[in-house]
Formats: sequence, structure tokens, C-alpha cells
Amino acid sequence: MECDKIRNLINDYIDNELDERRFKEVEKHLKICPDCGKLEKDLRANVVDPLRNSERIKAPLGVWQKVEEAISVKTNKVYVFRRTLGWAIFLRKKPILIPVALMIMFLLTIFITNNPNITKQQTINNYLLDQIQSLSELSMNGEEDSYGSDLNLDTAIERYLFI
Amino acid sequence: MNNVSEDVLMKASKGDMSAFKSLYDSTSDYIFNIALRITGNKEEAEEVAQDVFLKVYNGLKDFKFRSNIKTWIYRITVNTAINASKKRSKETKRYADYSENIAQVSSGSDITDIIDIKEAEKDVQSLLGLLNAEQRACIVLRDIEGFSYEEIAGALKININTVRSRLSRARQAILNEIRKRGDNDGM
Repeated sequence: MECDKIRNLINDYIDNELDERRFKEVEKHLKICPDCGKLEKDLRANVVDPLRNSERIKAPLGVWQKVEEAISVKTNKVYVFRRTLGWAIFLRKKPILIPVALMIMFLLTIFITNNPNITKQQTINNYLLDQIQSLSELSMNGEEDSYGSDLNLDTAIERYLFI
Repeated sequence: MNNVSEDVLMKASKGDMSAFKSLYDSTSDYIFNIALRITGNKEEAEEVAQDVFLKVYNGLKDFKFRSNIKTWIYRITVNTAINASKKRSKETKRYADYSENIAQVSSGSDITDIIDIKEAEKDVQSLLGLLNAEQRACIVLRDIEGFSYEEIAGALKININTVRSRLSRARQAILNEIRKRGDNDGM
């Protein structure tokens, strides 16, 4: 019975976690009980001391770089989030802007949907106007042997302009 | 863990990266060491260490400076390492190579500073694999980091008697295995 009680306290004894009275009680028992004494020595020699004497292993150098990168990415995300949040707060203060913005987006969508070639057509028109202007300038300089007057490649644009 | 001045902590909590680097330099070896002993795997320990520092960076601005920074960082480390360890399903297989993992990390640190791991220590390290993650955490904090029972209870937020029982069972399990191996070798 005495041994069971001591064995329950043996780790506290090894770790110096007992009050003075109990410490002395365990110490006294360990001196007179070979089994409990052996258990204490085995625990110290095979489990506790090897771990306590173990070397501290240094953190690899790459860890800090990864931490720094992760913090940088997170900081950027926070910045984007704060800007978005700022807009949300602004719109909340001016609620009339939300339906106005939605209406504009709706009308633009309808307009673009109904005129799918609007941007394409505009580009073609601009190109044709440029060409007309430059050809007109060539033909207006009055010289017979001008580059513009001899030029006839029978292209669609020439047919369009000179017919 | 080296003491970190309150001034450095205050600056780090406001996002000062050079102050945070000072905190990292003072604590990284301790954090990595605990993570490695609990997970038993170098790559996993690195991930745990990164995760811990991100948590510390994010948590510093809310940290109550009257609390103990050491206990707080250890708590984050141990909990992160325990969770990482539990996620791994092939725990038994991983720990078969535990001592080799530790040896590789040690010798890989610096060629002039190769750590000669004693055979007895290697045996114990491999035997840590017999324990569950919570028991390993208690053993590491007590025997490697030198925490008192009260400090372990505080770091893990558990009852001090739970610390006692985990340590007792863990040490007994390791000792039983050593005795078993000794018997087998003698046969």
C-alpha cells in the first residue's frame, strides 16, 4: 500500500513538485524500498534525463522568409478588403447612389446587348475616315506624278472612294 | 525562451516588421523545436512554425500585455502542433522514422555544428511516437522546455492534475517499452 502511494508521487518527486514534507516522505521510502528505488532510477536514466539533455534544434533559415511572404500577402489582402469596405461604407451613407448605379449598369447592358458591333463599327469608321483624309490630301496637292494619283491597286476602299 | 522587451512587442503589435523579426529571432528555435518534437516530422514542424508566427503576428494587436507572452506563444505552438499531428492519419508509420527525422534536421543545420545525438536520447525520441499528441506536449514542455506543472497547465489550459496524469502515463509507457525491448534483446 505504501509503495502504491509512493509510485503515484514519484513523478512529482522527480520533477520537484512536492512540498517539503511529502518530498522527504518519498525520499525516505526510496532509500528503503528496492523496487520503488529502481523505478525512480530507471525513470530518470531512461526517460527524463535523455530528454532533458537533448539538444535544441535550430529553426531552418527558410522559415522566416515564408513567414514574411505570408504576412506580406495577408497585408495586401487586408488593404484590398479595407478599400472595398470603404466603398461599402460610402454607399451606405449615400444609399441613393446604389439604385442609380444599378440603373446605369442595366441601361448600359441593354445598349451593348442590342448593339453588339458598336465598338467594332466605330473602329472601322475611324479607319475609313483616316484613309479618306490621307488620300484626299495626296490628290489635292495638284502634281500629276504625285504618289497618290498613280496609286491604283483596285482595292475595295479605292472603289468606294473614286467611283 | 529569451525575454522580449515590451517595447519590441508594442512595436511588433503595430505591424513593425523589424520588431517582429526580433521577436522571431528570440523565439523561433524554441517554437520549431517543440513543433518538431510533437509532430516528429521536419516539414510539418516548419509548417507549424510558420503558422504559429502568423497567428502571433495577427494576435499581437489584441494581446493583453499583462499576460505572459511566453505562455501565450507556447500555447499557440503546442495547440497548432497537436492539431497538425492529429490531422496526420499515418501516425505510427511517421514515428517509425522519428529519430532519423530529428538527426537529419540536426545535421542539416550547420556543418560546423553537427549535433551528436546520443543513442539513449534517440531511443527515447523514437519512443515518443508511442504517446498521443497531448502526452507528447506535456513531456516536451516539462522535460525539454523545463516548465513547471502549473506552467504546463496554463499553457495547455488544462487542470494541473491532468498534467500529472499525462506525464505519469507517458513516462510509464516509455519505460515499459524500453524494458520490453531490453527483454527482447536479452532473449
